[in-house]
Amino acid sequence: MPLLRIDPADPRPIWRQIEEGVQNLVAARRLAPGDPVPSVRDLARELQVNPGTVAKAYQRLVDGGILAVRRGEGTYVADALPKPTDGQRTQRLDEGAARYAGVAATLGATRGEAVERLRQAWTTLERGS
Amino acid sequence: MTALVALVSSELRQRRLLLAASALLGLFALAAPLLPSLPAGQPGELLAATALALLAIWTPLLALAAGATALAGEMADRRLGFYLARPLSTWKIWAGKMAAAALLPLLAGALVLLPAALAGAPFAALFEGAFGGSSLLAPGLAAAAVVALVAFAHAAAIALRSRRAWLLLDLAALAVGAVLVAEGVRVLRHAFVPDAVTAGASALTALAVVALLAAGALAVHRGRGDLAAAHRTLSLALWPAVLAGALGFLLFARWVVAAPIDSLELPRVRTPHGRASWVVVGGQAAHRFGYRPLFLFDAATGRSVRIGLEWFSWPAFAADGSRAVWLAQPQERSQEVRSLDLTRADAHPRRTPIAPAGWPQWMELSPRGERLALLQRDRLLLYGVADGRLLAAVRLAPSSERRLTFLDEDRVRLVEKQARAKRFAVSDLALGGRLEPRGRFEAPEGVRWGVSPLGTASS
Amino acid sequence: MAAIELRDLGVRYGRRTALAEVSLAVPEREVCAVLGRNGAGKTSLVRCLLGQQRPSAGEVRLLGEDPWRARARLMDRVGVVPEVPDAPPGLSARELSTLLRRVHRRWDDAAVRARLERFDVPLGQPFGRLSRGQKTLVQLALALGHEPELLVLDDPTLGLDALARRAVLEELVGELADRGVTVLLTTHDLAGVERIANRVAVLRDGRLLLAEELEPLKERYRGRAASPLDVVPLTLEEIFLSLHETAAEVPA
Repeated sequence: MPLLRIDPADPRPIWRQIEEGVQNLVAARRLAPGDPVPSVRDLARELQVNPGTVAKAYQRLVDGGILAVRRGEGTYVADALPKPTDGQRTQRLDEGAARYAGVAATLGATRGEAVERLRQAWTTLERGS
Repeated sequence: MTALVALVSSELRQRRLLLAASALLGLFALAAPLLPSLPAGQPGELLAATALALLAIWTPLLALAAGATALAGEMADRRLGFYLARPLSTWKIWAGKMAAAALLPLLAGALVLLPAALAGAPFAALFEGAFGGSSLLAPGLAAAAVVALVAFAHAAAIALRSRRAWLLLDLAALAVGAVLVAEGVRVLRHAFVPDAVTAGASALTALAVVALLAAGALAVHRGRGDLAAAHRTLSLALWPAVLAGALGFLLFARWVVAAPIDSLELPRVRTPHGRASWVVVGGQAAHRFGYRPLFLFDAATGRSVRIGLEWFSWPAFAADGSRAVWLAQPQERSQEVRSLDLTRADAHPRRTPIAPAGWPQWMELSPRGERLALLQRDRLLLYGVADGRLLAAVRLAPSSERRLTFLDEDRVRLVEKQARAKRFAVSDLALGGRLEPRGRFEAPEGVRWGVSPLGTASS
Repeated sequence: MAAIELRDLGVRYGRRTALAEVSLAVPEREVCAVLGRNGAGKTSLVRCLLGQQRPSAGEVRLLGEDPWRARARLMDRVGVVPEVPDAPPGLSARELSTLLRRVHRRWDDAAVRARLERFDVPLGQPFGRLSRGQKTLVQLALALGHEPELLVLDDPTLGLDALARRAVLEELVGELADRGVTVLLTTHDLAGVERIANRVAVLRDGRLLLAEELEPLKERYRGRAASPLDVVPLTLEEIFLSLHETAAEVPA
């Protein structure tokens, strides 16, 4: 899971960074339904974080239906991914959009340039590279 | 037990270079008889002596170094934590380290001797007759000495390396202990009881070694990683024991010389010529390590007064039984004359002003006890007992065969046997006068002789 | 039950106060980082905790027992990595493991060797001739040989290069995941420790400024921003620095 990165300076708690990171990877199809995810131990070792933190993030992901535990085998991405509620969905879309708009404005991009970049990123994401 | 053995063997393993050096040193002893500058002949004994000399230097050095570094160094460098962080009691850590520190010099000593022993050095012959002929006593004593050195070095290293003001307290306690022991030794030497000095000093040394070991163990137990706390514990444990021991030694010395008259075994009793009820009693006191005191004993009242040592202080009596005087030795090199009024039941020995410069050969008291005649090697002196005034003095040719007696309160008679002759010369000395010859006589060679109170020689 | 409990702990050296009124509890299976500058009292705290020093005041409970009295017994359940490597310099890692096998009630010699091989530490070289990083790794391997319930690490990453530091942290994470050990570590390496600690205690001049869970602490600092332009500490390092500024206060 090379794309998962932890930043202590990120204002979000580490477990939240892991939770959202996995959510994003699943949303971007970098992790497909049925794919195994690393064990708590391995991921904690890889990220050098407390295993309890990883376990907390995994627990929330299992509760949210994104990961599923198969007894004795390990943890996998759930086959049927839950649809977030409309409220949750809108809120997180708005948060992400505001963050991007803020970055683009800070860098002096025009509205058109910002929208074009977003479109390119979307294409890249769909291609899955 | 396994842990302790593991600890000891790991300590020795860490110092294996020193053991290797010891083996090399032993090989060096083999070369000694080949050196040209040393005397030829008896190469075996030379080999043994060389090996023993190397042993005598190397082993104590190792014992001191091992004792000083075993724990104190680790405490100072904060390396003891390695052992304290393991399931090892402080006693075990201490015992393991100390055992290794004692074993190291012993093993090294054996390695130094081994090559010479294999080459046939006659070690046993060198010790023939020594140590009571026991073959185990010499190694046993050496082992005990190594343990003592290790214990001492351990304690000293803790005290020195903690760099605390407690060190001054240690030195003060050491000084007090030394003063107590020196006083005890002085008392015993003065009473000529060398056996008591040996016995007391041995017991005190054994006590000091045990106290050092116990205090060292306690220091590790209570101090652990903290050298200052270890030092404090060490001092608080060590000095009460050592000072009590030193005080005990002094009390022991005083007890030895306080032997009462009824402790004398086979007392020698001498009745004086006077008319008093007093007799002189001397002999060896029981269980007092050969102490031989001398007493004046009043047969009428049962009172006894200790006056000195049996072979030194035999008193002179006044013929009327009123007084006894004797030579006492308050210091090692000085004498004084003491006197006792025999007429009073509560009288105590008194120092007289008479202080003879040399050791008198003979001492005689006048019939009423007012004058004292002292015969030295080359002079005859007449004193007043009460005021110490010198009433007459004459120079004599050096001779040892002289006897004295008072003819009356003012006259002394001197009988001399002339050197390498059977002839005796008699002369009198009066107050303030000169020596007046009174006559000569002859007697067969080899007779035992004395002078009666009336001034006649008898054989 | 708390694995570690300090109540009003005080340590004095003569007239100098090293620790005063320190109270701290670390529940089982938690990772508590004790932060403080040099001389803040971290090492005194660790030494009291391990029964190597007698507190001048207060009470210490290590796995429910008084470490000063029960030290030898407790040390079969506790692993220690000291600030300054203290293994006998004349013994090799292999010899050290052999020695400790006979000292501990249980000892996994094979695991110790496997760890040392993973760390790339030469097994036969005398401890005194290893590099600083290798020494710490050997001490860590030896601290884990008896599978302790509690690990106490006194500034374990001090003087280590990035690789050795990573090895130490990875090993810790592995122990946390596999056996659920409790960990108390003192450190300068705030960024490294921030990811694995879930509890922090900050010492300044022998006094405890705070001791609590890391997440709620950070949350409170974040909530303190009054305006969007306020600079609030976001990392443990920033919190630590802000605590050492004059008149800094922990948000309630």
